[in-house]
Amino acid sequence: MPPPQSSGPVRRPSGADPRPLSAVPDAPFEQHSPEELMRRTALGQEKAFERLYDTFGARVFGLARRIVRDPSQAEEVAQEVFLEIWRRASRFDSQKGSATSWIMTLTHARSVDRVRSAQAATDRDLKHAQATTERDVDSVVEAVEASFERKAVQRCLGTLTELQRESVTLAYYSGYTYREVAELLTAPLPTIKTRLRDGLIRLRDCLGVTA
Amino acid sequence: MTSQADFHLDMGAMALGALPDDELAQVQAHLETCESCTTELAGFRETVAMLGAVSAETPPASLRSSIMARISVTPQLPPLVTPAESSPSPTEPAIPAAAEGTPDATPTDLPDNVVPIRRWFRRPGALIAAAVAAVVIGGGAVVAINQAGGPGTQVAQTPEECIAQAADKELITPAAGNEGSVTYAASCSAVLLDVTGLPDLPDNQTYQLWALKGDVARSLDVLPDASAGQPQLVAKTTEPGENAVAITVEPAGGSAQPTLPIVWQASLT
Repeated sequence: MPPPQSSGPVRRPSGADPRPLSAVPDAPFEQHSPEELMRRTALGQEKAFERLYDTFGARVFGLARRIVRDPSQAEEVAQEVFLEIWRRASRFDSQKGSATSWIMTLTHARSVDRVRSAQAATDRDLKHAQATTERDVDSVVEAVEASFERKAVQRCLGTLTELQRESVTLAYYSGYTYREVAELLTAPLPTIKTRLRDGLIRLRDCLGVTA
Repeated sequence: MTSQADFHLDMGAMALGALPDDELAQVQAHLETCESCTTELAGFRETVAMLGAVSAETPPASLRSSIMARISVTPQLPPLVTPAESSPSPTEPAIPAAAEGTPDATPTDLPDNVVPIRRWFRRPGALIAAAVAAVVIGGGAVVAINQAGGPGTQVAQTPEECIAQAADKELITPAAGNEGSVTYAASCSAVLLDVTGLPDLPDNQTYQLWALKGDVARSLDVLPDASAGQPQLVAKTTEPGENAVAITVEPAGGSAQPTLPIVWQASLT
């Protein structure tokens, strides 16, 4: 076992690292799971809510940004999400799923809401969207950071067929319904549903999700 | 036209938020009667959350202060009061379809309490196990921490009791770091770690134990005895999707997020 270096472990500069694993050297230690933080937030504890923000801020903002693309709109979505976490914390039930899953589902939904309301006036340019999304597929697979956890996601995305990965990515990161995905890919509706489900089964099993 | 198999087919699209509104209500109604669908959906949602984390990006610092200022003037909703002996109302959305003041917002398939509580209870190794964490330090006193509280929490036995009796327990050798051992019992959603042999740390540093799941690390404990170069035995519950346990060196008192590098790690799969 490598002993700790005398100069201390290598820390990533917290300001420059957007990843959840970035060091937070000055944060007071609170040994609370996200679920416990949700429970305390429901009790009105602003400190617990702050810790939730510090834990999930980058993930919420990052996913919103990926879906709505515009940084200032992503900020608005993130603010909306966190206010909703604050308001609805009492409705969270850890027996039904993790806080992470709850928060990320909420973030995705609000981001898609934003995209759809912004685009209500104009139909989407599907060709443009498709071109954009093809780039996204690449970036999901290739641009992930070379850290142990990101490698796992990267590796597991790699176990999907290209068609599965394309469908999952269009649905999730572009916020399309499966019908819209079918339209984009000129595929029958049941085919797309199958791809989405089979893709998630592979991802789930590869990532070791036990539910 | 919709058979049982069709509904299962919907779970992927639903977890990805890709079901159109007109199909959503029907699928949600079906979930009330389909335990396997509910289980599959929950697993998909945990999976999808990990996909979402890949895009993590530091928000502007102003966002934090802006949010904290807003919540200081924002009231919170009361909890749902569930009558005894009945499930939560299946029609009450855990997350509303759209926030007030969001024009034209699309109703979403949000979800969370389309998962009836009782179904989770029946699932071996499901999240219910994560509701309780118990710690054994130095093989001595047992400290049980009920994290979730709430009605119906079932605390049949401590993780170490469960592991001791589990038929599927397996001894795992750490992948990083050569010392110590891990006993993992998937049926208990629990691990028993023997972290004997970690080198002594200076007073201003401590070992901290984490459960890893995708790009998310959950703090399990700080390890004061191990930090002092002493053997330490720790029993912990794991949550769905967590596939490794790891130890890092942190400033005294521990950190909110792990400081790389990982000095000790064991895979649970």
